[in-house]
Amino acid sequence: MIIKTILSITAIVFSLIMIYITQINYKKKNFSKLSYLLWIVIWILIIFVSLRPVSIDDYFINNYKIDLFYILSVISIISLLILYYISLVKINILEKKINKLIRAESLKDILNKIKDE
Amino acid sequence: MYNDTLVAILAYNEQKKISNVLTEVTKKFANVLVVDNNSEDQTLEEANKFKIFLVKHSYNLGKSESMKTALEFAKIKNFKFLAFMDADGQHKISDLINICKKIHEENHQLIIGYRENLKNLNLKKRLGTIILQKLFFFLYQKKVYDIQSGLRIFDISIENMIYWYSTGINHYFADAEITCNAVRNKCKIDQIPIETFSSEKYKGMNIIQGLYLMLMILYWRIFK
Repeated sequence: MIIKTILSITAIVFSLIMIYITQINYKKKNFSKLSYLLWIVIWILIIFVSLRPVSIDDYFINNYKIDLFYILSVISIISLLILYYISLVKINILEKKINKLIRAESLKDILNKIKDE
Repeated sequence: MYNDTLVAILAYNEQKKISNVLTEVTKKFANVLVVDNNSEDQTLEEANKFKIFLVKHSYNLGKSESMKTALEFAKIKNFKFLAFMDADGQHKISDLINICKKIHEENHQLIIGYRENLKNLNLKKRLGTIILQKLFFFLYQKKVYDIQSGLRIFDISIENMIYWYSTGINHYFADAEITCNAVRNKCKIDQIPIETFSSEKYKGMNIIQGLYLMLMILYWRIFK
């Protein structure tokens, strides 16, 4: 019970901090409006999940035989994996672009030098 | 000697040794390219004292990307063969001459200099070389003594058959990838023994990278 409370408080505090950081990133134009709203919804959902009353869990278990928290955990893990995958692909694409640019720039320098000589 | 051959030397922080290497190489080869990977010491300044082609990356892109730069330069300047050697003095000029001679005289597409006497290597490198050799033979059914050797020469016309994609943390795997691609595409490969010098302990791959390379060899065999 105590551990659950501590975890819930941690999650709420973390979400509030992340809402603030999201705001800053939006003001710095690191996020589009849609991304900003999406992330705000996600952080608010985390607060809701942490604060939800035990009666909601009981309702779902008794009426639908569903462990709500388990389902939310599975959905969160899958979402994290998808986000990680998208980030990985973007990083790989960026890395290729940077490598190509630097190589082209260095070759341009030497070819110009040879041309001048 | 061998005007159709470009000797590419990939350098990163080798100010102490690059002069000696270039002194020897420039005596025998007219076309030498040094690719400096944004060295933090005086490597570039030392290399600039010689009459060579010199390319500097504005960021350290690793060995694999440096090799690609060398290849692109060789293609632009219409060289027929591209040879690679290390900038740290590990390779003897006579071995470089031998691999160039062999590819010119015989109809090979890739020549790899393999370290015959492994006693000059530290235990980790010795074991790693042997294990990679065995694994490679098991997967490709071809005996290649040193798939990671940095001393090699290839005919640029086989570029599409051996092109390598290792980059980032895999940048050290380019030589192995070239070897795997060449064998898979049935290129005419030969190997000649070369001398090894004592390598510095901190150089080369660590055990984790070695294990990762083994996984990559398996990956290239199955998925490429």
